[in-house]
Formats: sequence, C-alpha cells, structure tokens
Amino acid sequence: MKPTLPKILLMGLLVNAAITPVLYAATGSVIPRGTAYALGLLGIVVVGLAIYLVVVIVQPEKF
Amino acid sequence: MRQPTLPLKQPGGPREQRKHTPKPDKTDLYKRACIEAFRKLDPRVMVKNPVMFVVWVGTVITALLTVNPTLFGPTDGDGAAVYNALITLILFLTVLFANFAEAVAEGRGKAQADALRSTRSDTVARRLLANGSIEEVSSTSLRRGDRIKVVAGDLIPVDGEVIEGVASVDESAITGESAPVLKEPGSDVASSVTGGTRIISDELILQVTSDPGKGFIDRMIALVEGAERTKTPNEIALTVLLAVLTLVFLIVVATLPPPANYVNSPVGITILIALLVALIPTTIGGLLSAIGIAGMDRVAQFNVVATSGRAVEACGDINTLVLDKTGTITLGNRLAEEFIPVNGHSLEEVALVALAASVFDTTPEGKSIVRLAEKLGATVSFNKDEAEGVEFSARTRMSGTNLPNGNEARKGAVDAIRGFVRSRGGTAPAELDQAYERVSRLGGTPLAVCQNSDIYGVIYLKDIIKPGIKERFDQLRRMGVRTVMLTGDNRITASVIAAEAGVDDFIAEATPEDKIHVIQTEQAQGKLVAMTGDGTNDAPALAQANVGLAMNSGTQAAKEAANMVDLDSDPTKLIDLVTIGKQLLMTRGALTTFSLANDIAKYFAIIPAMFAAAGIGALNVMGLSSPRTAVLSALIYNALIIPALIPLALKGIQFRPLTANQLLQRNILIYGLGGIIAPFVAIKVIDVGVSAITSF
Repeated sequence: MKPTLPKILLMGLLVNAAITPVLYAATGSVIPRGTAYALGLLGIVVVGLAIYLVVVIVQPEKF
Repeated sequence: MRQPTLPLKQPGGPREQRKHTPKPDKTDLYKRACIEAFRKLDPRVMVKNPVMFVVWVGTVITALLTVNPTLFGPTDGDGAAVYNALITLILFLTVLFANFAEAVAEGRGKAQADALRSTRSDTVARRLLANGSIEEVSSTSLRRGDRIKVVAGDLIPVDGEVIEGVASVDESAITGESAPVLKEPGSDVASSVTGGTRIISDELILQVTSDPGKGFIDRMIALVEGAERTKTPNEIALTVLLAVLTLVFLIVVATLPPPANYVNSPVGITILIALLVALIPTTIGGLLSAIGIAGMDRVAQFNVVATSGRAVEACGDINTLVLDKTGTITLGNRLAEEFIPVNGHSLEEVALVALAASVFDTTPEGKSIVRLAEKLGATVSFNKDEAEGVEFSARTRMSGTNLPNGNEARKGAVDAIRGFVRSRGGTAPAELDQAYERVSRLGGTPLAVCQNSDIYGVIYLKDIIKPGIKERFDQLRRMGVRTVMLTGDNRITASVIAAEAGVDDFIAEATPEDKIHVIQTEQAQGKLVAMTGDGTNDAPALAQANVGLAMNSGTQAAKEAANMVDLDSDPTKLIDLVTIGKQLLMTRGALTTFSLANDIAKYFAIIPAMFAAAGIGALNVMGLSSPRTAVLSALIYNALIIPALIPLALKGIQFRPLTANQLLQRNILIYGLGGIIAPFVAIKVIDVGVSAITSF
C-alpha cells in the first residue's frame, strides 16, 4: 500500500484515538479532554517528523 | 614592454574582456521569485527540503497556537496570542526567505532557458527523399538519419552533420559569437551544425543527428532550467548531515519538557518550537539548493554547458589537468620565424623549396611559411594547376607538393623528413641535428624541408605562450592541481615550453592514445582528471576523464562523450572551470560553517530565557531584556540571515588560490569565528529594538 497524504492523516487520527484516552487517564483529568487530543496529535506529528528525517538520512537522493 | 596578464582572482578576467554571452531577460526576476516563493509553500514541494519542512510544520503549529493559545494546555502571562502570532510570522518569513533564495537561483536559469527557447521554433524543413526530390515538412517530423537541405537565410531546424556543400553559419544564437563559422563536410571540427543557428550563405545538405526534442538546444534548456537537476554527491552528503542534526535537535527539544518541569520551569510549546528552529541549521538548509543552482548558472554564464551539477562539482575536486599545448598553453597559430639552411644550401634556396612545399598548405603555419619565403624573394616557379598537393597526416607527419617536373618538395617533422630522404636514397647532414636542437632549445617547432633526396634546411616555427598562463599554473599548483601538457612536438621543444609555461609535467610526441593512457594512469592513483578535446579521436579520453570539456566546434562524438561543452571553443576555460568548481565547494563549506557556528549565540539567547525560573540568569551573557524578547530576537536573526546571505550564495565567496589546509583555516577564521560573533552582536541589537517597541 502506497502511503498517500490522506492515508497518513487518517492513520494519525486513528492512532491518536487510541493514544488520547491513555494520556487522559494517565494525567488524572488535570488537562481537559480537548487538550489531551491536541497533545496526542502533537506527539504523533513529532514522531512523524522523526520518521521522515530518518527516511531522508537513509534515502537522501530522493529529497 | 610588460605583457598584459590575466587577473588572478576572477575566472577568465573581467566580463567585458570575455566573449559576448547571450544575455537572458532578467527584468521580472525578483517579482517572479516572490510569487514562486509562495508557490513553494505547498507541502509536497516543502518536503523536498528536510530542514525547511520542519520549520514549516513548526509554523503550522504556532499558527494553531495563535488561534487558540491554550490548545496544548494553560499559558502563563498575557498577550500569548499576539506573541504566538509574532513567532508564527517570523517562522513563516524564514520559510518564505528560503523559498525565495531557491526561486531567485532557479529564475536566473529559467530566464536563460527562455532566451534559448526563443531560438527554437517550429519551421518548415526541406527533406530529401530517396529519389532525390524534396518535400517540405515540419521540422518536428524530422527523425535521426533524415537528409535535409538548408539554404542561405534558413534557420537550421535540427542538429545535423554536413554531408555536402560549404556555407557560413551564424551561431550567435547559442554561442553569442557574431562572426559566422564556415561549415563543410568531412572536416573533424566544422562538419556539425546545431539546430537554432542560421545559415547565412550558400547551401548545405545535412544528415539529421537527433530526434525532435533531443537536440543540443533542447538539452541546454532542460539543463539551465534545472529540469534534470539531481543532487550531487556533496549535496547528498550535506543533506544527510543536515537531516541528522535536525533529528538530533528534534529529539533534544521533544524530550526537554520533563526536565524543565522537574526544575520548576515549565516550557510552552511555542518556545520549544522556537528553540528547535533556532538550533536546526536553517541558514544552510535554506540556501543549499540556491548555492548548487547558482554554481550551474555561473558555468552557463561562462558560456559552458554542463551536463550535470555533478560535473561542475567534480571540477572543484580535480587533481590533474591534462592540457593540449597548442591553443591552450600557446596561442593557436605558430608562425614561421626563420629559415636555417643546411647541407651547403643558401637561404634563398631553402625559401624556394619551403614555398614550393607550402603552396597547397592552408593552415596558418603553412601560410606563414609562404609569407616568410615571399619576403625573402622566393616566387612560385611552376604551374600550380599541374602540381599536386600532399596533405599532412598524423601518420606521415609531413606535407608538401609533387611538382610538375616530378620533383617532390616536402616539409614536416625532422624525423619524418629524414626517413623520406633516406627512402629516396639520400642522407641527412650532421648540421640538421644542430639546427633542430637550436630551434627546439628556443621553444620553437623545427620543420625540415627537403626536395627529393636532399635536405635543404629547417623552418623555425615560433610558438608564443599565452600571456598570464604561467601565473594561472602557479595558482593551480598552490591549489594542489597538477598540470600535464600534451604535445606532438619533440622532447626538447616540449621541455622548453613546459619550463616557460610552468606546467608540472609534459608528454612529448604524444598521440591521441597517450591522452587516455595519461588519464588512466592518474585515475589509478585515485586522482580526478580533467581534459579538453574536440576531435572524434578525443571522445574515449573525454568519456574517461572525470571532467571532459568538449569544444562546440568539435565533432558530435566529442560533444556527446564530454560532460561539458564550451560554446566559445576556448580550451583555456578548463582552468576557469576548476576555479568555478572550487568556488562552489568553498561557498557551500563556508555557509555550512557559518550556519552551525550561529547555533552557539542562539543557544545563549534561548536557553537562559527558557529556564529563567531555574536561576541560570548568569548564562544570559548578552543581557537580553526578557525571555520573550530573547526568543523573538534569536528567531528574527535566524530569519533575516537567510536573505542577507542570498547574494553571497548566488555570487559565491571570493575565490582565492590557496591549498585545502589554508582554505580550511581561513574559512574557520572568517565564517566559523564570524559565525559565532556576528549573531551575538546582531541578536543583542535586535533585542534592544524589540524591547523598545513591544511590551514583552
């Protein structure tokens, strides 16, 4: 399956849907639910950037 | 009187001293670059530049935080939205400036491509059919192998090889040289024509050598436009380095919140993004592609077409230059200076035989012999129509005339003439060797003159070394580039010229095969070799060399084998190309050093600001007013340094003929130390300004 932008976004949201409840539960309701979703997404963006940079390091000629 | 020398610091000397270059229209360059900079914000384009893509993602996140400052949790202090908006704006400008740098560099290539494109138009061509008749077809329907007829006034529709006719062709559309060039079949250097040039006299029958869209001009357009631009090995290595640095800083910044919370100094997401952007090498990340494109552009402006950026870069890494003597080290035309009689003959007799042997010789050397002989009173005493010219060949190494009375007048290499005389039953006198040696020791080329079995004397062909060439070779030596001169001359002449010109090594009595042999020997020692060539027999050596520069006047085979084509057909340009290549590498190295050195000052600006609550105020060495102004100042500096360095990236740093070690020391001093000091001063100045106009 070729990873296209919509597919990547969908995967990110699905993963976030799994992460956020864990994050929300772990913080003991200190942060609002919306913030938990936002932080989950931010975490995914950071991990996504890290993966992207690893790909650049491995296949620099494609960039 | 002192002869003028070429300026040492600028390749090829001042622009006005060089031949005319086709000048692209650059009026709307900056306007178009601004529009292009916005177009490049498309994430599919941004993703090609890892450092700037990270900044782009950071900009999107800070933009979201501007709309909703509490998106990732509660914020401290007032005016968070305005502050986030300012950070967003600065980050956005950083990305935009980087895009602008690339767009300006690309725009210069595109303008040149447009200038070339205007020469390529769909015209009507006269195709010759098998039965000899002519049909008029569109030039786009011509295929390789077709035969066409072009007459005076026609635009030559495609690249081709002359198979019949002699005509003058105006090649100014591609070379900029306004003097027409004579084209004729069978000749090694004048038989190929380029599509887009104009025939201005007579007519030619051509054999098409390229399919539509694959001609010389099409390739040139694709190259200068950057359509075929692939990353060079150095660029790839630097991309990896930049990506590694970015990844390391991303991990550092992403893992910073826990220790920050531990020291009771929680850090907001905006500040974390600001720190990340300040630490990753945005300056070089933003300018990297512009430097590469500008390097290609400099070569193109020099009227040289490079097949790839790789070739331009390879020029900078060259260890050995293999140069032909004639045309490169010495002025092309050797002129007859003196006749030296031997064997008891008088000067007049030598002049008479030399004239007889040269009447059919149309080379500049031959014509100069005729002039000198006529000056000495010699006249042609036979009917030229009944005589027969014997052409020079690399095998016989002599030329001459078969006279109507059966006599054979010959002139050529001393050994060749000695062999000729022996074959006619004669012997060479001892004085011949003395004359040969005398001429050779003067750095001239000795040509022996004989008639039948009798040697009459020696012609002294004077070679003039190009002014300033010795300084250029000295320059190359200081840069660690070895020069090897190849010449068909004898050892003594070659050694005199080599010593006078200051080349490191020479190969006398060289054959085309020697060229490839020299290249292979040097390459076996791990060296990179550059050479020039124009003939079909140079093609294997041009392909073997790391940088092969073919002359535009050369054959199609030579041009295809080489990775660069010089439109002005000036072999001396190879030396300039080495300096352009080195300049490209030096510019990239200098800006990378500067970009990385900048991090130190930014670190000192942002870290004390981030951990202000943790009692590390002593690290605020710049005495910045507040944590917020410190972060803003560092980011403003980070953004402004990119447009400030665009001119340097496009123009390249000033070229200096120094060794690699000297260059490294110099670069570390200027761009390393300068890169540490400059941001300290600049960030402090910006901070004073920002704190004066804002209440942060």
